[in-house]
Amino acid sequence: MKLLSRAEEIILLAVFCLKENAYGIPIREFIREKTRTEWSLAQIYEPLNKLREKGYVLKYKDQPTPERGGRHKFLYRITKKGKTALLEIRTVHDRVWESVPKKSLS
Amino acid sequence: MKKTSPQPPRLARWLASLFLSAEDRQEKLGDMEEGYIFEYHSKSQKRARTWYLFQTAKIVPFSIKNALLWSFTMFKNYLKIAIRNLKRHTGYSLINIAGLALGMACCLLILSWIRDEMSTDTFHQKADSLYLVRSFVHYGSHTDRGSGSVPALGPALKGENPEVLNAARINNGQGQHLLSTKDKKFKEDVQMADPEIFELFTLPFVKGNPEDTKKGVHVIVLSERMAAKFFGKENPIGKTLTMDNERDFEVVGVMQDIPHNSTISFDIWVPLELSRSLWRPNYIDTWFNMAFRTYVEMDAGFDLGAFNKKIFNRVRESDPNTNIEPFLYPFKKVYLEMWGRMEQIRIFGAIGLLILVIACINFMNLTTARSAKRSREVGLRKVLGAYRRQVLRQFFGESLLLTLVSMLLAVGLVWIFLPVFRSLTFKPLHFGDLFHPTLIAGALGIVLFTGFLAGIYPAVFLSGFRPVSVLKNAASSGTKGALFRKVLVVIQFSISIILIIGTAVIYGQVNYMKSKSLGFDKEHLLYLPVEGRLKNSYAAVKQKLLQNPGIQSVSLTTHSPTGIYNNGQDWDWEGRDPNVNPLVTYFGVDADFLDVFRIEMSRGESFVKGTPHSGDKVLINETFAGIINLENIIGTRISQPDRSLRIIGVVKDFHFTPVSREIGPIIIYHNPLVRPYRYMFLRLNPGDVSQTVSFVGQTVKEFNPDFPFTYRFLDEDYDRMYRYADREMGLVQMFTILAVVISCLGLFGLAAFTAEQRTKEIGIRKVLGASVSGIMVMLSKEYAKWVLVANIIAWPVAYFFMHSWLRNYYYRISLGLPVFLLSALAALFIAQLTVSVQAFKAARSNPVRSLRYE
Repeated sequence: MKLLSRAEEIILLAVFCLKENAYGIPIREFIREKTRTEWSLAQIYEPLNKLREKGYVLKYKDQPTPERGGRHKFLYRITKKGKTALLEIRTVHDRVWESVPKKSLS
Repeated sequence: MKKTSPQPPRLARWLASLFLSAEDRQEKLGDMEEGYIFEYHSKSQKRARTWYLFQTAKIVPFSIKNALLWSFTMFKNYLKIAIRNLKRHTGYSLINIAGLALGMACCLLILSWIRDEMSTDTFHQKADSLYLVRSFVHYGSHTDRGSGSVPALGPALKGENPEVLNAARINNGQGQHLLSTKDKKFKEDVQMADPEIFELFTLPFVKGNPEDTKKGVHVIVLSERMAAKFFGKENPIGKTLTMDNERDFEVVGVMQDIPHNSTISFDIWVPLELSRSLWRPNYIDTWFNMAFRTYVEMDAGFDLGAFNKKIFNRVRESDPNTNIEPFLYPFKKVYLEMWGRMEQIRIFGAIGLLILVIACINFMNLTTARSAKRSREVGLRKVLGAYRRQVLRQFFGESLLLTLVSMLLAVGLVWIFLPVFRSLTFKPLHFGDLFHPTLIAGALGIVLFTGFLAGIYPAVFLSGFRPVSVLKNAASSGTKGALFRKVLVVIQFSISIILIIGTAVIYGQVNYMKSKSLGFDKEHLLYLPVEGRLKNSYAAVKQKLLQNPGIQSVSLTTHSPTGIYNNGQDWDWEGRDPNVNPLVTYFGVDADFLDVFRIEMSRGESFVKGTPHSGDKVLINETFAGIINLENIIGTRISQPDRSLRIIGVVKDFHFTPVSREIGPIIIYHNPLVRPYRYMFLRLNPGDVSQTVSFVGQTVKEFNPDFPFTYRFLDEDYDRMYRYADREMGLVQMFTILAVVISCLGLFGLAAFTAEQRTKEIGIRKVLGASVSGIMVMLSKEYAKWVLVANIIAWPVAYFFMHSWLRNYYYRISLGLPVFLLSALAALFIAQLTVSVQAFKAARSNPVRSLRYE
């Protein structure tokens, strides 16, 4: 299995954390909070699409809301496959970082 | 509520929505709007706007990329399905593409022809500001509209009106003269015109200076091909050309050959001033003759109506009794409207369009017929979530693909057929001309038009299938649209029948004109110009010629009967109705004329042979006798203010203008002093004509050694006159045959489909004892019925158009029932032949095979 990219990893984590409310705006908030950087929506949709093609997330239609100008909301939900992928990248991370003590970097 | 909620920039939102799919418009635009409101409340409106604009700038390329990726995936699938379908039904696909390609090739040919016609005269850079001075000529009760004008007008206009920038006169027609260098002699057509034509028209010089054309009377300009003919590779500037062995001209310029699509066309130019010494000194200063055309270049923004009045007054000033009223006519309209080419363009444009429609109908019919096979595909696509729009797009795409392939084939066909087309139209069309921007645009237009028209029915029809019914019961949908297909077949055959009738009528009319008796015998008539020293010794030449047994008789005339345009009015006779003022043609002949031409006398007597002239004694034709309408016409005097003639006989009517025109009144006089003879007509005995001709050549050479011997046969002149009608006929014939072929291709495919659909029925019928012929009749009957219905539509339409076409001809065939019946029979026969091939195949098939799986 191919490893996730960093953007994909962050977004997939966001979708996982946001649970029933994962779509463009909250994902963007999540990213801002955690990474302290500003991502454009397109930068979010692009990896989201890839995740969807890989079958890590599912997209489903929600009710329209007034603040969206009466437009439908599309929510994302992580799949079992997605969770496996997260677990895997975590394991890889841990394994890679294991041999690097934090002190040696500063 | 609405007022309080902040609105993102509208333009950006609209822009983004353009590039987004329906789903993305919900998701992405919704997110953006939500984000906008968040930014708006947490920061400022300005920051929110900037954010929104930034998001738009980012989302547009993203969604384009995304959409392309998706559509490419779908496109690959569509293409694969389309190609599989083509492969599976190779026969039908071939019929489909071949029919379309043929139709498109016709359209392309017609389009290139139309473009060439429309381009006439457009290369003249000043075309927009050029006008031809035409004239109304008022004859008492009626008015003629001519293309000429009085010769004195041009120079007068230029000198007296500031809005006239330039003017040039050009002689109507060209004179044939003998031109010679030291070692070369050719008879060539020479155009007399004012030197200003080189300023008005775009006739660039390759060598020499255009200013030199004004430096005298004895200057001459040659086209490149003429210069090469006389001087080869030498530089002709400053060299001498001798005209008619009498006068020398200095070559002052060589101009580029004038393109074929020009109404001004000549290879040799000499100044109009030359006419003062060739004809009469003041002929080009008169205010009455119409032998010249005058072109003027006008200042932009002049008032046409006021100017026309002004020039009419100018003519009246110089000739108070004039019946000539000049008016300006835009140069750009000369070819298309004055020469009447627009009608041809419309006719062929319509034919092209009709053929294209026939080809489209084939496509529609065959595709809908095959749709039974594809209904399951559509059903499945829809079940899997395809929108109707997507299915529409798929089928439009497929039809566009097929039309594109057909267009490529069509271009190939054009390449093959271009030589044939070139010889039919006498136009130097080249394959390279096809890549002219207008034609490429036209071809793309045809592809889009055809693709859309041919695809619209299948697309709408197929995408409208309800997946449930289609998937449950696929077999039933094949019969859907059967009525529609029949209607289309009827339209198709109506068009074909109209074209067949049109061809038949044109063919009949041309043949009628060709075979119509001219009133004289045009066969075995040889003629030669009376020129040089022949002018003074024709009596002796005639004597010498008559000694040859191959020559029956010889006559001298002032004109050739292919067109005698020397006429006048104001004839008076005893008891004339004052309202009658016919335009009478004059024709000068010698006493042997009637014998040579074999024109019969109706009443009275002819000229006495052997006399040099008959004084005031003249012959008239029956038409004129009918107009004079006197019991005792022989001996009646007819007079004009300055002359009086006595009628001694009436000849039977004969054609002295093209056969399409009504025979008018004519006076035949025998008096070379009035007008010198210009032609010598010889009636030859059939037999060894070539030997006789060489004898004539020797004899003429003997008397007139300075001129090369030239001769023509009169019947060849008449054939040449019909060349144009022949050309038109050839084109219409070609396109009609193609239209019928395309229709039949469609019918062939459709018949195959019907037969295939009824395989089981035919099998059962055969098992129960039906005969092959019985089944064939059953299958053919259907189409016969529709072809007959097509006749009902086609007949009135064809009658209407052909009736108005025939009105161009004074002597014309009548539009009888036989033409219509024969055309109907032909269509029926062709249709039956096409269908019966399929019917026979179906009827002969082994019923065991078709019923095996039941």
